[in-house]
Amino acid sequence: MGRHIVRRLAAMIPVLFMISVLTFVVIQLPPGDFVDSYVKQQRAAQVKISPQEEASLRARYGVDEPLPTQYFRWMGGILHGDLGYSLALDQPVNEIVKSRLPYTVTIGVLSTLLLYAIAIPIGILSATRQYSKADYFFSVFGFLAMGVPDFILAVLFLWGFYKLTGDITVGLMDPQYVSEPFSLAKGANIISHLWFPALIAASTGTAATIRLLRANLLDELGKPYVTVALAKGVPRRRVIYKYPARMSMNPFIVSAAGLLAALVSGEVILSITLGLPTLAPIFLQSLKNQDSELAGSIVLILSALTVIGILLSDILLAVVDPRIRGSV
Amino acid sequence: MMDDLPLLEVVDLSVTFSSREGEVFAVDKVSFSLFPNEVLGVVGESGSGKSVTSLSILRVLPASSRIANGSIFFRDEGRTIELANVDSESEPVRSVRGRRISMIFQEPMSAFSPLHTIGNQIGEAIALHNLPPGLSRSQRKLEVRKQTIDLLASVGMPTPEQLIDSYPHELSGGMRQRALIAMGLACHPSILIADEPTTALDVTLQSQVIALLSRLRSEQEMSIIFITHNLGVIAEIADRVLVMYLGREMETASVDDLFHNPKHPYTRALIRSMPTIAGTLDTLIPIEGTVPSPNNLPTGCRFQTRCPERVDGLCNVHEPVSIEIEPGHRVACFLSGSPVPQGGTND
Repeated sequence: MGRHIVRRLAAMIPVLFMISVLTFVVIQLPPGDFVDSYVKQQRAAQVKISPQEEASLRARYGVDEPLPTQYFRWMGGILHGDLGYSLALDQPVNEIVKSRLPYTVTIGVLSTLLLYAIAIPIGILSATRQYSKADYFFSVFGFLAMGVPDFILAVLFLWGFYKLTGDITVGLMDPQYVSEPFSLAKGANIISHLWFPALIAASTGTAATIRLLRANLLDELGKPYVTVALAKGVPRRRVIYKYPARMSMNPFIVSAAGLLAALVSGEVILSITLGLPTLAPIFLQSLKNQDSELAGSIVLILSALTVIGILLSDILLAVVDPRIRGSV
Repeated sequence: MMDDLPLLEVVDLSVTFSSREGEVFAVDKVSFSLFPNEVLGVVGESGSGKSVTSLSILRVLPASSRIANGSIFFRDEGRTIELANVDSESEPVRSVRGRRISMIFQEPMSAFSPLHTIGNQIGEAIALHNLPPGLSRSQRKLEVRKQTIDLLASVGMPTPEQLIDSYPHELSGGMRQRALIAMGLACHPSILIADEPTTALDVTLQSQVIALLSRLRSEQEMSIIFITHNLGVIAEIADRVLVMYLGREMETASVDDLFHNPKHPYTRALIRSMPTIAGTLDTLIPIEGTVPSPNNLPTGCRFQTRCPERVDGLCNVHEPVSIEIEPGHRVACFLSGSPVPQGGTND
């Protein structure tokens, strides 16, 4: 097992390298570059930029250098822990990531926890009481949550928040915490502000997970080992939690791998709607501006999270399922 | 043996499944008894209701089915418990299920959860029913483990101390079936229901398992309901036989009577379709046709569509009821004297 993990970790390096090359190339593919789009924006805003100024910008930002040179300059920095420089925001990428990644991760982790905390009990209930009133209720509710885009939920939430408090800014924390160093109280305060956005971010996934878990569990409930356990005289509730409920979890352990990355790319519109300072809106902006080092770094971070997620879910799967453990 | 009171009496049991076409009878007014230390064989093709009957005794029927009619009486430790007309999670059922009546199933692979060791799954029944009171947590654990190892040894598992910690997929088919039998025997039940316990095994293993069950039966004074579609196996192990077809009882007889004096055309057809070592392929006579769908039962006798001795105007109009033609030998066939209803049809 230990050797297996080391081998898998080593295999991650070429994967991440290939992803970084691909990202960098794809970002540069559209015609023009960062200076072109910057000049266009300035001219649209009636700011005069002479061809000389444009040429000096090009020289300063090195956008005319060959692609491999640009790539290796960026990569060389990453190997020293420097993610590069955002031309559009005029800030080191490290600083942008440092200020925004914690919120992204907080919302991500919070909404993942909410997702499972809500979906697992409801999924089990829906499957064990198939066609009951509760099952129908949660089915209707689930399809609604799946069908309504989360930014609409976000708008509804903002409206409700405004009606209740008269305030339009949801904010990440109460004002007195803003300049304070991080503490447990500050963390709790952030969570108390973020749980609703996290719930919205989790809504689609929760509904989908309920449906999936219900279907998986219904399959498992019909399996002979359930009847066998009941025939042994084990109380019904204990049978369900010990055997089929656990069996029907396996697909979720597999899908949990991509969850964090999916949440980052999925929460773009939500974060813009709610004005949350997460990575997602910056990511969208950097792609539009062809801000290649920022965009490339974010993609690289997301890829690393996904690849690590896959490894973790493989390890977890081996822990819970002896059939997989044997083949590793 | 027949002078004793029956240990288990099933009276007019009917079980229905709900389907798109409405309620379908999987078991229709079946009655039988099981006496102490007896092996009752239950024979029939797929869809005859033999497994459903056994699942109703333990009240572990699938959610789509229910007991529509009938009673099940179980005599145990000086009292009689009725199992069919109480809630499936009620105290009387819980006091019997897995403890006094237990079951071993057909597919040893799917009967075990793949995520738990066989020791865990066998020990579960012991921990529930078979521990002396007043043990501490760690003593309970030790006692469960000790009893599980003894059980595995008693069903002929080599190195039970090691196999107890293995997962189902790590065992061979024969070892899995032994583990399954051990699980059924965990609490020394007075009735063991064995639902096709040899069907998934090759012939050598089959006879080993049958020998094992016969041995355990005489050692532990246990009654067995042995469900199979294989008459050869019945001849080896059973004392009496119940033949079922499409949820109905066709014939009940001692094993000698059944093979030497079969009365029902269906029983005779089953025996003719049995391969013998001396026989050639021409002597193997399959039963014509296929089992009708329970959604669309034939009128009259259920077997009439395939019966070589059908009397038109009688068998396809009336359904014969079971009668006792000699002590312990019951047949449901007009040719053996089932009363013909006067006037009208019973549909």
